[in-house]
Amino acid sequence: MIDVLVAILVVLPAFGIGIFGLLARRHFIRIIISVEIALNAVILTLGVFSALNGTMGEAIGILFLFIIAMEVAIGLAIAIQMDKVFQTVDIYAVRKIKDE
Amino acid sequence: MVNLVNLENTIFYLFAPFILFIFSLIVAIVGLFKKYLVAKILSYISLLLALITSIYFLSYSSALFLFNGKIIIDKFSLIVWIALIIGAFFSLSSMENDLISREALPLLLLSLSLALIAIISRDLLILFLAVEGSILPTYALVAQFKKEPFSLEATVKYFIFGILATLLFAYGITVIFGNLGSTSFAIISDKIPNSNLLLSVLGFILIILSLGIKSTLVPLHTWAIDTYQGAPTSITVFLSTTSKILGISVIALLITGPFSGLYKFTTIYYILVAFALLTLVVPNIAALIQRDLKRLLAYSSIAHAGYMSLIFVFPFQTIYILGYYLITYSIAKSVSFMVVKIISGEGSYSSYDSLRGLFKSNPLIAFAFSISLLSLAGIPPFAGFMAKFLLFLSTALSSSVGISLALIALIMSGVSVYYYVIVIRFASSKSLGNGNEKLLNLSFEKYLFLILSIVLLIVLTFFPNYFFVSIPIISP
Repeated sequence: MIDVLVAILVVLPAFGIGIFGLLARRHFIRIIISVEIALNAVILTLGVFSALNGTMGEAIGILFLFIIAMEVAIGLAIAIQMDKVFQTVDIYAVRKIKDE
Repeated sequence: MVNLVNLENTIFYLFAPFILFIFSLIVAIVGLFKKYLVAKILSYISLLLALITSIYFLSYSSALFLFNGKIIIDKFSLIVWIALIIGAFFSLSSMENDLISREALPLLLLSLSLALIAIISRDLLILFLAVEGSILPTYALVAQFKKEPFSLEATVKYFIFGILATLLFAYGITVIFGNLGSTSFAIISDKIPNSNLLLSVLGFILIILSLGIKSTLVPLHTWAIDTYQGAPTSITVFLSTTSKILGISVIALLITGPFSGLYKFTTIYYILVAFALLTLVVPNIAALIQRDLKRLLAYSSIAHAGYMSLIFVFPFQTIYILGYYLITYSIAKSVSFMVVKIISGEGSYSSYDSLRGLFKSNPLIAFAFSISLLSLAGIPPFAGFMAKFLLFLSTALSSSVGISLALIALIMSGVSVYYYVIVIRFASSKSLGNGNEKLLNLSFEKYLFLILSIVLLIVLTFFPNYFFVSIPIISP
């Protein structure tokens, strides 16, 4: 059981970096890159579990990969549309429009 | 012993999600040929079939176990299904051709069909796939008017919080899986007392945070106001009912099912109570200073997430009210947003002044609007009163924390009457212009749904016991 705890604690900073980037970045593409970092942390943890006991962890990892890849595809579509409408992908620029 | 069912029976029992999924494909194809009326009628037929089968399965006395107990259809899930389908009905009836021509209907049916599967799933992986699959089409639904800056702004906020929720959910499942070696609810609830407590609590909190974002519990609600305002109003009907009901009922499923073993630890208990307390107080106070109808109703729907989260206090005693509360909330909230749609279109802004003279020019709309708002406020004799009364009463009877929370909920419910009554006063006041208010044209379906909602909100008051749910069954 201690192996599981170590695996989670080692990968937790990577997940934290991803979540921080998701919340703190202004550039939409950087946000999507942060999502990928957090996703990689999740999949890495699942890979360790898979090495510890059985192969189900890898299957779960592939499912997560599919779902988040779909979300990222939608995110890129939103980024393209932002570029068309606002001529920028800075999410603060979107917020500023409301105040005017 | 599990009653084994063969494939045909499985499809029969899962008829409601299947029919919505198949019709979403058919409606998408019909939409290609620009037959918008046909597409709408087909969507109505699929929703009606799903509603009828849900009501028919209610007559079954025992729960149905499918796929080795990974999917269980019990009374809890059927009542929540009915609440979800009602919200989709109202959302569909307020849509016009401008939205239907942009493929809103297939996305709506697809999202609803996966939401139905999420309620009956008894495995964290199926739950994850269904919940995320149900949220994915709503990003596209919010961005239907993608050339409008406000709609796009709403989409950006919704997307960032939505993907945050997805990541937290995924990591929560990872931690739970690593700790317990399984994602099945039955095994989790067996293993959790003898597991590594730190990891179980971490996983549980991550999953609750993720579902809290979807059901707009207060520190996590910030996306909801702008998204509800910026989205097309017909879509706001769908978001404020379906997504929220999905989030709250999945949390109820988790805290009474697999994670009920964690409930005796006070840290978890007080985290959930703090969510409930904040969600009761903050939106009700913030709604007092709003001057836009859509924002006000968005805050009111967050406040109702607070009333629903009273079940966190002592879920085993109070969960049976949840189904009735969800159904009354679903009807009242969707009618109020639908009237905003009729008055000021799909746009983002709808001032209180646009309501002036409504009682004189369009009495039916004004009556339906007033009754839905009074029901949301909890004024007798409307159904919202009975739902709030039973919920507060059972919360107060549960425990000492429950008494104080029920009291706060009662005070906040009193505060909410103020801002609802201001809106009704605007509707009954004289118009600013020369007295020639425009007569809003109502299509047949909207006429029907407004009358139906008035009747239901009065009649349902007297029959709460038909919609009481049982504690969700998690293992055969």
